[in-house]
Amino acid sequence: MSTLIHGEPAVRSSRVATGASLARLFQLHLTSRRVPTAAVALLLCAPLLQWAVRSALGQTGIAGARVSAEQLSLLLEAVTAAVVSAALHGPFGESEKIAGRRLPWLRLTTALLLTALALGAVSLGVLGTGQPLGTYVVVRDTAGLIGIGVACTTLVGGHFAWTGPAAYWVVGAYALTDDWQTPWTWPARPGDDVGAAVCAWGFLAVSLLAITIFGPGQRTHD
Amino acid sequence: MNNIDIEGLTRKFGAAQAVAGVSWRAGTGVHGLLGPNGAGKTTLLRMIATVIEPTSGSLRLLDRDPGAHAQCREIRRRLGYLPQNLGYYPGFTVAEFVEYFALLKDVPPNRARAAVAGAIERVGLGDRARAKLRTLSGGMLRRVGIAQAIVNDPLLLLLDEPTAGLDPEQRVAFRAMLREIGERATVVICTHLVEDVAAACSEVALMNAGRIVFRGGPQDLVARGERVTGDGGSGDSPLERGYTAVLAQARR
Amino acid sequence: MSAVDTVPQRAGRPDAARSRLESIRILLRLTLLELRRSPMPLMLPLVAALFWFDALRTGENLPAIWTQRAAILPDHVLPDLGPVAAGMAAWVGGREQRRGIGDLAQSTARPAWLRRLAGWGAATGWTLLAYAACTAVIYVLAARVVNWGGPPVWPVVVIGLAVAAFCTTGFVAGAVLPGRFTAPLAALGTLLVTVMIFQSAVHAASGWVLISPDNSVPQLDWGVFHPVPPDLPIVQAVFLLGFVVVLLGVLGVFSSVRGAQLRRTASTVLAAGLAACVACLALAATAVRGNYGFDISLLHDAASDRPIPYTPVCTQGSAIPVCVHPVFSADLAGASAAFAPLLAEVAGLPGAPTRVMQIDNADLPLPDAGPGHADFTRFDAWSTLAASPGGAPVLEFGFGDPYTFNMPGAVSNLRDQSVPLVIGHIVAPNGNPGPAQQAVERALIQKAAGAPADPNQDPSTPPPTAAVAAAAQRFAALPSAQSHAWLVADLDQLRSGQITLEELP
Repeated sequence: MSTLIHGEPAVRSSRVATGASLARLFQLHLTSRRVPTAAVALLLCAPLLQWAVRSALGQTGIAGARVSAEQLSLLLEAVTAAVVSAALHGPFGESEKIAGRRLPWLRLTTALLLTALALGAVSLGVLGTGQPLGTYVVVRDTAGLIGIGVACTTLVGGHFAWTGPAAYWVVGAYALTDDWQTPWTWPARPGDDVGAAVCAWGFLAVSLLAITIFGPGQRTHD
Repeated sequence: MNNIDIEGLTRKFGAAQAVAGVSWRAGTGVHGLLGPNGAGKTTLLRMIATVIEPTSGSLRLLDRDPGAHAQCREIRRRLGYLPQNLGYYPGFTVAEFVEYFALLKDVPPNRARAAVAGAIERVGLGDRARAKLRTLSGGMLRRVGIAQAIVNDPLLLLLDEPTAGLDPEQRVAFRAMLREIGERATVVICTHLVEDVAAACSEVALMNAGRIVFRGGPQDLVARGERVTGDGGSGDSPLERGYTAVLAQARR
Repeated sequence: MSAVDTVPQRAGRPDAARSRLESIRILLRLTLLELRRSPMPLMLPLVAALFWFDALRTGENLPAIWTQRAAILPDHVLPDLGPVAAGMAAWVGGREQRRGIGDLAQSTARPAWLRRLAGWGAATGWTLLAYAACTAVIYVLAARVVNWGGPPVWPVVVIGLAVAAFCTTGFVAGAVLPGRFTAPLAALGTLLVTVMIFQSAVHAASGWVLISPDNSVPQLDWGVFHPVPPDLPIVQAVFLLGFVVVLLGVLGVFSSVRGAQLRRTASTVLAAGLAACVACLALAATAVRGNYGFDISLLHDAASDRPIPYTPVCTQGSAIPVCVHPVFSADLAGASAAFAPLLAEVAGLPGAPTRVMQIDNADLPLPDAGPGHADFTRFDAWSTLAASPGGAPVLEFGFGDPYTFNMPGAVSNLRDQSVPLVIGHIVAPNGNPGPAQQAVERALIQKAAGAPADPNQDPSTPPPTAAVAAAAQRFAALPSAQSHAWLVADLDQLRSGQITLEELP
């Protein structure tokens, strides 16, 4: 665009060009993070969650069928968290880190997009299944797990970030079985529990902030 | 015997033809392969390294057919290859990385240690044998790559951009090593650095758009540059001028 | 003399046997190299944390019985270690693509399958090392508290193979489908499959789902009175081995793009593994819960059902000893306390049990129990009256579900069941007690159980008349020594109906 063109049409077309280039930048950033593949994986979690919860609850007469359904639901929530945290891994290393001021916004937007996809997928997954905890609790638990996964991505990089949600699932499974009361074991807390909500959503918020500022961790060790 | 015997070799990637009919015979000695980016040098080298198969044409290496599995394996035991982008495992030490490839290349286990030590010494990394690869500079990594390529005393040595990252002193030593190996093996170096070609190669092939457009000695290439007047032959050295002159003619 | 000159090709064709031997040597050297530099140890801190949090803390609360302690392996060690190993192995398996070493490795002489086998061997080696450490800790801690029997071997073998199967699944997934999502999906996907199969199999008494090594909670006394039949563990072990072989065959087929012979070999390996898996699934489908474990008729050896000899641990100095199996010796005091009031009332009376003996739960006639199936979902303990080989009555009992068992509940159950049983047998051995017999029964039950007999306990029995109730109250009010002395003198007459209500003291 020539800098010799003055006036309002020039300003408007400059804005359009900037908007187009930002959109293009965002698209390339999403591609570099394999977000389309992640989105497919997340959406596949929805029917998987439907099937798993229904089959667990369908075991009528079996003691602990309710807890089984809750544990399976939590496991699939952990899968979505692992997918999100793996997708946030940056493949470019140092050359990207020094790239410029737009990178934090790109990271945050990507993380929010993936989180929204994951929360949507789990909501669809428990729709109509009669999941004992309810849709909000499932969404809350997923948010907390994503927070753990994103924190792991920031600390150790995307390759190993899945270990956080996987380890927390073990803790959560115990919490569901033994009905733990602490707010940081939010999977066992009811939907109206303020402490659990603060812990889960707070963890997500802090992690998103961390990855926005610091980006994914980079490891050179194989 | 020609260690490399190619007739009408082509390679396609989808609709793109990377190598468009190359015929070449190379025996013992150091052969340079020059050409601009995208000329097909690396693709040709990868076919000779038996990494990818040609789309059509005939390829015989060390008097064997790489298309037959057993013969391909015999070729690979006598082959050394340094790709343009050398991958490595950062946790391995220099010695372990070279040993890994020595074993994969069928160097007998009882001779592997000696072969590894010899190769590492030859590239001047004897004092870094136990260093982890992640601690090495780019040039040192390149030398590790050369070490794994020569650890099995290959009869066919293929090097893609071998001197990238090497300082001038190391390049001089490397060229001397190539000349020494070239006395009993076929060495092909694919490079952008014409001075490597000038110093080490007895024959040069110049590729453009998937074909060989020049073949001869370095002096022949210089002579082509001197013959051109006005419409090509730019460059800071006689070999560069010859290189650009041949390319200009090929593109007309 | 160069390295290549010593490559064995002296006569133009390699010697096949020497070539095979050299392949094995090279594979071992490569595997050792990979073991030294494998990134698998990165998983050890996480595995240690999960092991402590899940397996160790759970194990502390389990009964001190070898089969119960060994059940930690499938129920806790496998879900803690397996998925983490699968995820790490998937990451290791994708290493060539991630590090850009594909072309270079492709140009070497040795087959890609061999190269990948070395990587797999190292990953599996580290995983099995971690598993061995976990097993050693569990068994050492168990050995400190279990006072009878020896550590079971089959669970160690089966779960070891299961852990290897997890690792292999991850490695092959990473090698075949390298990518950033492979490791997390391998880890959590294998965990999901494990959890789902466990939830299907945990209550299954038969069917192919029993092939899962993580399939059921053992009954409290499995492996105590009788050995656990090895039928199902054998089938599980062979299945898991076959599964690993299938995966290695897949890896070989995928790696052998060139080389028809190698592809044929890999396909043969894959087919052999598949055949083993299918055969084992078919065998597992015939497994049924037997008296002492799961039986597969084609494999079952009836000789293995012989009881394990033991010397019971009994109370000392009592007229009627209470005996338990040595492994339950810590529960002897509780069992003794449960039966003490009853035994004090009936000791020395004709028809009183000569001893109280813990037996195999499978031999107890529980209500709603299937053939040989001790259903303890509603009770912590159960008792019954039986006859010894010599004809003397023996009071037999067993303890219930290990995960819900509690001694106060067991004491209550034993007392409620055994008191009316024994007293009825003593006072009215032929059934149909007369009024005086009813009154004495009610009185003795009240004395032994510490509470009046519950008229609603047996709906088929009509409520006592006022006279019977009054006579029972009168008899119950007697000091135990006096009522006992009367019974010693007059029990035979009471049994034969010669004593009326009015003649009762």
